Amino acid sequence: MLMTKSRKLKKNLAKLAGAIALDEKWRAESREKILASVRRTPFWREAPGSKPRPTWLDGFRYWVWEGRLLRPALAVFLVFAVFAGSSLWALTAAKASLPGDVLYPVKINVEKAQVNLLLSEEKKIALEMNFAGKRLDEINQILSQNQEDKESPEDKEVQIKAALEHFSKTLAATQKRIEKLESAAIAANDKVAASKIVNEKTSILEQNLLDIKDKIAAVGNDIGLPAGSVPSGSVKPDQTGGAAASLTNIDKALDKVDQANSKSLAVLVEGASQSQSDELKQVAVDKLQEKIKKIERNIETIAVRTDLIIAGAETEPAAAAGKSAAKPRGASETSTLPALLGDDKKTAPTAASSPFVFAKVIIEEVGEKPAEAKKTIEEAKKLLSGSTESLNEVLAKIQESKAIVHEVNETIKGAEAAGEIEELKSGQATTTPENIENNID
Amino acid sequence: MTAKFNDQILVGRSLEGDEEAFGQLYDKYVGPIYRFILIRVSNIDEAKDLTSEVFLKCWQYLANSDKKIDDFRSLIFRIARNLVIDFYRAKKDYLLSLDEQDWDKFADESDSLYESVAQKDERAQTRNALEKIGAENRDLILLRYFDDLSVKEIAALLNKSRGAVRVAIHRARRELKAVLEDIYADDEEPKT
Repeated sequence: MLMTKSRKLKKNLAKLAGAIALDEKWRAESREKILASVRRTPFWREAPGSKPRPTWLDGFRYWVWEGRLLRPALAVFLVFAVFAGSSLWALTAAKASLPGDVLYPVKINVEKAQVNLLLSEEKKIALEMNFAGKRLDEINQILSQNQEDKESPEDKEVQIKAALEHFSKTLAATQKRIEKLESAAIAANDKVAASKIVNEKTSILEQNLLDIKDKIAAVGNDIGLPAGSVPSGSVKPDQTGGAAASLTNIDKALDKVDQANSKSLAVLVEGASQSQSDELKQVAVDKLQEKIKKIERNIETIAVRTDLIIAGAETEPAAAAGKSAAKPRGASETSTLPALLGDDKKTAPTAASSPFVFAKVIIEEVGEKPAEAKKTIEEAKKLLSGSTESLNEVLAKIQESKAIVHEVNETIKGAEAAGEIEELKSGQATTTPENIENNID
Repeated sequence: MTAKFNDQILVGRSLEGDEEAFGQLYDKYVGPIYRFILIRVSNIDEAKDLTSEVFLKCWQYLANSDKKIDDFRSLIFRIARNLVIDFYRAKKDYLLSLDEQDWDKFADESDSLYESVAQKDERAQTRNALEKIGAENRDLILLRYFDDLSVKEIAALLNKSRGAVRVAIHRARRELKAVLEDIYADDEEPKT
């Protein structure tokens, strides 16, 4: 009630103010008198003179030219500059960050934003490839860091794993883009240009990954990667724990690189085949030739590996057998290789079986494969030398040959993982090419 | 563009000799200044003279001052207030005129002939409440609710900080509330 009265009083005051009206006659007279008095002042007489009504130009001059707006604008600019400066500092710091650092997620998200901001798929692909390369640079940095700088020995392994995960994600994203390009109704030269970038960049990435792999395999345990259990795969027996885990992760990343590379080659060949341009076709021919050379190198490698196994199986020293018997193997262990080979006729070796039996089984399975792969790749070369009209057929032959090489590698890798090849090696000491050469001689 | 910015442009143009610009400032502020003075001097003729004087003083200030005029509204009210103080200094008394007839006279300037009895009662109550509070608090209440000046403008006028003015207005309102309590308590007392 009292509040209402108080409010009413304030209202009444306002009402009273409104009720007081001006005497219009006096107002007009007073105005004239005042302006006349103003005109009589010396200041007025010295003034530039009567001016027209203010225009927008006057407003501009008053606010902008004379700096009245510029001052607050400058203040706003300075605030913005401080804000932008600190953001820039954070971005610069993020740019130099490594996996595990607080700012690393910022770096990754900024990179993603950079890719998303681009309109051209070709540029997106190029940028993604660039960022994938940066992940590998990060791994090299991690490996070159002093162990004393790290808080725990697990750090490096975790960091490498994180970098490889982002690397694989980036490659997967690129591969999706390439797949979309394959079905997109765009010009053949665009398809070829985009897939060429991926093809070339993945080749470089593959080489860099192999270099990192070599580095870890050589000195992994000495550079701070922690000891632990030995995972399976292409890991050397002297690699343990963090080094071994990192090598396994690198193998997975290499698979991703290979997939992206193969896909890009397929899209490139498809694009070139659709095109009438000799230039595009020549690009495809060059890339297919590169791939053929790479497959040939791989064939040579598997040939050496199978030769090693063959040479080992042809020599059967008693000592090796004795060593094997000294370490009994359970049924579950021994069944690994036949299961891998999927051949019921090849009886699973028993606990008393010699490791040479394993070698012979492997030889039966893959012994002829290098020659088969070589023959297929020769056919591809022949087709490619004939004309540029059968690019797809060449690609099919290359893929066939590659599949053979892959099969051999998987078989040997599986046998190594199960320990069969290892035992053979340890019994015979025939693991090096030099020894193989000696045995053949 | 805000009223404050418009005033600044008009002041700028006035100083460059644009007569019409100063005329526009006059048109805008003559009413509020007249009311400000009239409620304090309670004499229409005095109020008219003082209002004219405010504008002349204002012009002199603009012409002679090197300072940039950020807030013309605060400036002109400050000049008006100083003139009212000078007016009462001459009379050795600075009091709000609370004569009932004066207040009715102000309103008579408008359409008060058609005013209701209730409206006249309301005005009487307002005058009665203001009469009972201290001069300083009354001045603040008038500045805030009669002259409709913001806390910022009152602070500029009284040369005080905004915080101090806010606190002072709060105290003035509290005093007014207490006065109103007394007034209504008296009204409600049963007559013996």
